Amino acid sequence: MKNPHKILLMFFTLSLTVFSGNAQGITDENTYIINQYFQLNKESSLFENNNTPTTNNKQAQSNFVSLNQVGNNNQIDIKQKGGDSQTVNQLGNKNYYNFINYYNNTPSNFNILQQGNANNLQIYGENSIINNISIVQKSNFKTLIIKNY
Amino acid sequence: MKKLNLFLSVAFLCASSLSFAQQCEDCDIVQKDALVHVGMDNESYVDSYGWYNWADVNQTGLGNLSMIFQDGTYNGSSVYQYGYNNVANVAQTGYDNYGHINQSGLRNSAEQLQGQNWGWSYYGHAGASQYGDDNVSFQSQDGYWNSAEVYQNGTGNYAEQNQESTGYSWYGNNAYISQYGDENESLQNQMGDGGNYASSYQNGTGNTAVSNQETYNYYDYGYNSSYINQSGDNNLACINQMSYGGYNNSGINQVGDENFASVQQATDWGWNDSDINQNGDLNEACVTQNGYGAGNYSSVYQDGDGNMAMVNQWGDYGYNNSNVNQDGDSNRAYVNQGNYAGYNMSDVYQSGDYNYASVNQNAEYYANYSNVNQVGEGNSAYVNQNSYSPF
Repeated sequence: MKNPHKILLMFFTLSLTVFSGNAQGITDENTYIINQYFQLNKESSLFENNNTPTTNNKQAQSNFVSLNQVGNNNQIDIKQKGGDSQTVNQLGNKNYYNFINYYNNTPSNFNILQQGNANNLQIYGENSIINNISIVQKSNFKTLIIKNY
Repeated sequence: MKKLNLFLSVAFLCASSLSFAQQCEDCDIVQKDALVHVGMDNESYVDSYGWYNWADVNQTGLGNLSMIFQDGTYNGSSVYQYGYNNVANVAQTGYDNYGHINQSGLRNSAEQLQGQNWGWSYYGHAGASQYGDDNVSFQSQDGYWNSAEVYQNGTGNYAEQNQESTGYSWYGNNAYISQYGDENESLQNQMGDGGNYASSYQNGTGNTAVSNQETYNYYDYGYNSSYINQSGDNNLACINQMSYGGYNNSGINQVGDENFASVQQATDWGWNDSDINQNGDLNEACVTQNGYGAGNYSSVYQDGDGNMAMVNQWGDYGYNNSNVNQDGDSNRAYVNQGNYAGYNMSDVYQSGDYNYASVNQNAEYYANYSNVNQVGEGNSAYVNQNSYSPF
């Protein structure tokens, strides 16, 4: 006569295998919907962070720039050392934005809006300096150059 | 290490501002001397000692001379001179003395000394009124809680007031100068332990007003406060303030074209506060502030075309705060800020065509904040920020 403990163990293992198979099937059916839900929330959270930096993000920076230019032929040149947070709005024709960040390993936050013709944007810095970035150009003749060395 | 960092900060800001080098002028004032009496007409001499003495002198003609010496308490003198080349000299020492000189004519000289070489003066008042051209007025006071006042109406007049407070004199001294006419000059020098207050008003063209203040105690009542108001063109206004424990406060208002305003403030434990308002074209405003423990605050408002504003702020443990507001065309704003453990904050607002803004900030262990708003055509903004701290 076989050992009754072995029979019980085989029955429990078989039951667990069948249950796991069914569970895996349910997860496969809902994976796409669940991933889409969390992805949308994640993107929404990033969008909010770009527009309204949280207190923690601000405390991590040491340079803060807010620039608003309304008019034609505007020009902005920014040079920084250290982590930074920028909010730049250029509303007008022939705007120009140039940013150079040097000797910096702290991520930067950008929120830049260029609205007008012939905009130009250039960002130069070291690798991994950009954490949250939002650049919107609404115009013809747009140029966007970002180089991280 | 701290000195090295400060040196680097200064070097950084100097290098940054060199590319946009902008020179600030200074008030060029030519000090004059009291006139020497040339005897042609009347001479009057008054010496009095004790309490409640009063002297009245009235002279009319050319080359009159009045000399009054009073020593004691509650003494008073009044001198009236009408004519040319008159000289009035009043010396008072003691408690609660009063002296006033009234002159009408040309090239008159009024001099009042309270305290000075004969002791201290307390609660004293010295006043001078001059009508005519090329008059000079000198008023000097030692002690505390003294006040001096000069009124001049004419062209080419000169007024100088010197005050020094002593002892536990938290009441300090007050000085007032009013000048109406062209090419006038006013100079106010105040120093001592107590608080200083100076006020100058000039109405005309080509006037110059200079105020120098210094307090040298480490208590907060050693403050300096100076205000200059000018109405007309080509006027110059300069305020220099230095304190150790108290604050420096200054205000300059100019209405007219091609005016120039300069403020230099330095303090150890107090704070610096400067307000400049200019209404007209081609005006210039320069502010230099140096603070150690507290903070620097500067506000420049310019309404008109072609104006220039330059603000230099240096701090150690306090804050630097600059606000430049320019309303008009072709304006320029330069802001340079350096700090060690405090923060830098700059606000520039320009409304008009072809504006230019340059902001250089350096914070050793804190943050830089720059806010630039430009409304108009052809604007340019340059922001240079440097921070050694990740905070």
